[in-house]
Amino acid sequence: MHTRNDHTRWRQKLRHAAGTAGLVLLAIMTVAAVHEEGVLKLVTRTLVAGDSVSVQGERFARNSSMTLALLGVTGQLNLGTVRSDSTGKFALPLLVPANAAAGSYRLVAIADDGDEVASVDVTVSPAAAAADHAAMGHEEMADDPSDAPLALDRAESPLLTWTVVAGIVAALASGVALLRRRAADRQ
Amino acid sequence: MIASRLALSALDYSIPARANRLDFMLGALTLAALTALSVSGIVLTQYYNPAPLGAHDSIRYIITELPLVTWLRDLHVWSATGAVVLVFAHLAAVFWRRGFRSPREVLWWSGVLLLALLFGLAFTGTVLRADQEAVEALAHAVAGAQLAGPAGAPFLPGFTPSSPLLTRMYGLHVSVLPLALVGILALHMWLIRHLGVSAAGEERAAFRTHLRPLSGFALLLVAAVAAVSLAWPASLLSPGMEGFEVTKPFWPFLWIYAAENLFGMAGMLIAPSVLFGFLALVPVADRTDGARARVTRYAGVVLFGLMIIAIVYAALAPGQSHLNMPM
Repeated sequence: MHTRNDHTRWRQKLRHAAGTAGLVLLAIMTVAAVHEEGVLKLVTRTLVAGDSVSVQGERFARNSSMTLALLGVTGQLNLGTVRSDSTGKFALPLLVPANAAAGSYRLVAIADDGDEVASVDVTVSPAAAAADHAAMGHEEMADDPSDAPLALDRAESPLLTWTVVAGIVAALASGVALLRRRAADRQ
Repeated sequence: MIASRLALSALDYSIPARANRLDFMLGALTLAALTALSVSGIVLTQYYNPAPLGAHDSIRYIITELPLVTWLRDLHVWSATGAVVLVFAHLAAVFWRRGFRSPREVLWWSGVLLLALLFGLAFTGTVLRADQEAVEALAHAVAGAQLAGPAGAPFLPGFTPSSPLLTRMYGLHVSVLPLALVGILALHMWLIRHLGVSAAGEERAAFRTHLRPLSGFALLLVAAVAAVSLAWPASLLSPGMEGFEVTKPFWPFLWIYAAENLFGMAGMLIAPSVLFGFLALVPVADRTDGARARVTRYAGVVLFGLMIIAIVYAALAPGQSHLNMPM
């Protein structure tokens, strides 16, 4: 038998549990909100070992210092420190170490307390490979993001188009024939 | 001779004659769309580069240089749309005829898991394009993973420093999720075979008679998807730029986008939790006829209606920033 006191006690316990959960959630959200996430912009995402690259940062915490580093499989290559201005922006040229191994990296901005506040994927290429990349006619990053589809010259083959059309007609005809046979079976 | 060697007599088992109607074939037609997705996907893996900076270029190469592969990519995208539409139609049909009641509870739950896996495949597939929409979808996934705490850790960029998040999404899309899908699909089909479909009526028919109309509808589906792929090729946006929100997600995720408009980032977790929580509870809530069964049915209809309204609203409403990024 449950008494009125039992119910009151359970209600108190539930209230305490909800309160504790709320506090924990608040603490987690507070920790998550300590840093403002910034944006790193590069003129190109193909970096060349030994060359410099222009980096712009936006929407960082105002007047805060950060370390810019390349994070790769082999570890972290520090590229230098930077300080955002009173609007949370910075711009500077960064020198990619000549001894950086070619491969995929993340360029990260690390706040003074060790938290990562921005990142962007990049590739480090040896000088010769970068020249080949440019020669292939790849455009650099656009200035503004867009939701408009790219106007690409689609590869077309009349033979393929007509083969697909013939396949569609054959599938339609076969499908209709099978369904009509089912209808005939029913009668 | 061949029939005996291939044990085709196993197809002679009886099923309710009513199961030869289209509304009982929606699950099998979803399987036909999944087959088209698998075949086209296998070809695409030969040309797609899952490295973050090579991904967009490889799709651009496919579109501009390879007519057959670019058409297969279009077919892949439209088959995904077809699979999502069919699986929801299947879900609605089974829900309406209460195909989840005893002894088919596990059959229903396996279907709910398959739906979740299909959403996972659609999401990881979107991300692989590495265009603006993909980068924003990935940013939402990372934000959701942060909200989810330790459970979301595998979806954070720093989880495995040796492999970029995009490459891990590719691994999910081409191996982990398809393997899970095949495993649960096998369970789903096993249960259908042994528990039977939930069709009313005394009249029976041989399963072989089911295959003919099913093949007919499957051929019509393939023809429709192929024609749409030819008429409206899949698009590709410009290479993704991180830190911005200018796009909306692939349409099957628009109801989640609408929830984010209403509840902020928490909407990304709330909306799927409500849907999948409800679907998981359906066999428990609606066991026999009565008030609870009526409430479950009304709740399902309202939820389904809300999803459609949310998709239309999100498609038509102006874009919103959910991650406090510039638009």
